[in-house]
Amino acid sequence: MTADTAPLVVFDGVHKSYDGKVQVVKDLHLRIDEGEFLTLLGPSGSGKTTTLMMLAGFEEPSAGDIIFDGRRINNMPTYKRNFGMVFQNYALFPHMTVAENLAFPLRMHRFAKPEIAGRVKRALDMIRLDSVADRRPIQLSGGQQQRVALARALVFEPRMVLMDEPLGALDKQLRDHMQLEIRELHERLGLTVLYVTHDQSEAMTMSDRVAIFNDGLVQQIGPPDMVYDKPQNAFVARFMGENNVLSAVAGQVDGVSLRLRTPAGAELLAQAPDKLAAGVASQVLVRPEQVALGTGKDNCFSGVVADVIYHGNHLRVVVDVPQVGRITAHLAKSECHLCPSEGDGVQVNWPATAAVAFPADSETGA
Amino acid sequence: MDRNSRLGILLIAPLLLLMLVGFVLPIGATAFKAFANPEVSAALPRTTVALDRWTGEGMPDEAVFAAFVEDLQSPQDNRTFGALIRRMNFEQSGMRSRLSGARRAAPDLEAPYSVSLIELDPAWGTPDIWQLLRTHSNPYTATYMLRSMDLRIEPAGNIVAVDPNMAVFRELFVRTFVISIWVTVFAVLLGYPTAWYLSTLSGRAESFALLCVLVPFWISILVRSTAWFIILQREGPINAALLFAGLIDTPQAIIFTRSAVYIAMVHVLLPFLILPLLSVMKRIRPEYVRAAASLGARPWQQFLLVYLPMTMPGVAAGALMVLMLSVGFYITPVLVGGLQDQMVSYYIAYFTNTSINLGMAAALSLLLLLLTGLLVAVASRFMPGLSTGPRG
Ligand SMILES: Nc1ncnc2c1ncn2[C@@H]1O[C@H](COP(=O)(O)OP(=O)(O)OP(=O)(O)O)[C@@H](O)[C@H]1O
Ligand SMILES: [Mg+2]
Repeated sequence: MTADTAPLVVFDGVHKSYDGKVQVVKDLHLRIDEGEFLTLLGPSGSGKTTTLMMLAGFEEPSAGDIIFDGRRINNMPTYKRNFGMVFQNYALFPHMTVAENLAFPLRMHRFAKPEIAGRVKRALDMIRLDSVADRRPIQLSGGQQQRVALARALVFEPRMVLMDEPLGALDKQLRDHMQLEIRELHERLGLTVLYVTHDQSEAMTMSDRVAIFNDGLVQQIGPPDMVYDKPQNAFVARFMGENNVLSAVAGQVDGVSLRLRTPAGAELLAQAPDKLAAGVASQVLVRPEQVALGTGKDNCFSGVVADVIYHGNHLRVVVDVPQVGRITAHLAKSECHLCPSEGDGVQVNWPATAAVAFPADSETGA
Repeated sequence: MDRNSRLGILLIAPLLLLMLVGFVLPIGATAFKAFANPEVSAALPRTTVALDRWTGEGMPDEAVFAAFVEDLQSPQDNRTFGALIRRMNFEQSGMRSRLSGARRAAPDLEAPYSVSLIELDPAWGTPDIWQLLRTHSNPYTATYMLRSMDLRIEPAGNIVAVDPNMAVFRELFVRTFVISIWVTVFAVLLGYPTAWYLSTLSGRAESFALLCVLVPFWISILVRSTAWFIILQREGPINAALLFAGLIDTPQAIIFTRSAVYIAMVHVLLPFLILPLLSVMKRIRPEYVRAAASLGARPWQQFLLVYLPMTMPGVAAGALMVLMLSVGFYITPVLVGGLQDQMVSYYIAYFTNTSINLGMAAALSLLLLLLTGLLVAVASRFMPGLSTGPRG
């Protein structure tokens, strides 16, 4: 993350096409610093796995260069790259015991026998699984297999660890636990991690930086809070978290905010990361947790409560606002006493700084 | 639970019945036939009783001779007597004419028969012939099983090797298993890379390739073997091509050789190896080999340490299938092999159809079954995947 040291990995204008026609990854520029936890996040088919596979050496870029530690590694075979990998289905070797699985990378890297035994022992301690050393992977639970796969990818101290949806097959509780465990390992061992997921909360909890992929292009890259709070385009804004989407036509700039007009004639105030010329059809996105009930300075409208849904730690109040459309607001449990019931007339408002406007056709990000 | 288990039994009852009718009964009947020895006691009932009282030492007394002649004089159908003659002649050549002669002369013989019968044919004056009859008046015999192993039991009861020029079966069994094992080895060597290649295909190419493997499956083994007969013969296309290419000056004998048997059998049996292997290979996701590569394994290590062990259950299943089928192969060696390339089945067919010796046919079948079972037991010790079955 320090700008003055050379990054560990550089994707320099990398393109990838499997069939020579469809570009699955387009003009990818990506830098990964030593010790960084970078997550590739995006919908299915956006090219995350393909990017990872190119770095791992299972696929060759169609154009551009991949630089590792200052060397071009486009054609270097995988076994020479020295990256630990964790796969979604773990890919533990079924014909070997847990201990043999852990010893495998050490044997391949020609460690001495006693060294192998010592490291396998330490790895088993690290994942607290020394009791199952002689079992086959098939005799372990999903979470245990996951930990063995993780330990196997780390035991030979690779320069970098690549993980492709490693927690995808676990249930929610275990997944949360493993997220913390991986994050903790990353911090303790100073690992460089490239992590692929399509679960945004996972990306938010674990990463130093997140790269949002869509359609083979990086839409935005930055720390999780930046990506969440300051989306650079409509795709990122919509992909990260829930949104109220309102259509409007851009008007005049008013100080730091932009004025827009809804088809029903109401006036909205929003931020526009890209300049929007007057008259351009736009979308305004507002996160439900930014919408408050009651009167406010900007963007204040009255409507009728259409629905109230209890959602564990918060309430969702759906309000029909005739001039704007349907607005969802999140209400904390502590504000429960404020909560209206269905059919009540209420006022909603949100600050101009919490609404973002994008051109209506910027959705695809292409 | 009772109701469920009763229902369960009811549901698998047809299967059990099928097993009984198609499996247990025929094998039981074969095992019985291999040891059954009814001919002497059926054709010579009185002699059987009389011989039973004889000590077996020296010559039998007049009572035995009398019973024997009485049996010969009594009217009986030719089938029973014919079976006796065939049976005794199988034990000792020359018995055919001796027994038929005695039967023809029997109505005119006069007591004491221990004199008149020996006058007719001095052979009846030796203890050996009576001991032979006595041995085989027992309704069960080990003769067939022993003969299948080139052994015989002497009238005195000790087991010895048969005449070297009559010893064929040990060599036959060795040959059957040698051919089968080589066919299996060739099939694995050819089938493994083929199955691997097929497993890498997808979409249309995969369907087409699979069709190429399956089409031979739909054609009867007889037709495929005949095709090899045509291809391999002296005037066949292979010789023609070799002659044309100038590689040989005179047509080579390919047909009726061991090589022809190997070529045709491997071809006929290859799908049985490829299909189970393919189904195992298809289920091995590329992640496993990729994981090995990422952990530092070179391509040959990826194959030997990860891919091969993971496909071993498929190899074992396919190889076992090929081995079992080739052990019992009949039509292909008959069509393209010489006499020296025939396998046990050939002799089972011979004893069933030509020499009408069902005892021998049954004994050979039973021995083949036992040896195959032994082979599988040994193989499953050395191929652990065989017992556990394929896993993904
Ligand atoms: N081996 C391949 N051959 C041809 N096309 C492929 C191959 N692998 C992936 N693709 C295509 O490339 C595109 C991107 O795939 P990729 O696996 O990188 O997506 P992803 O972001 O990892 O998606 P997911 O979240 O579903 O895993 C998809 O349209 C996919 O169909
Ligand atoms: Mg993927």
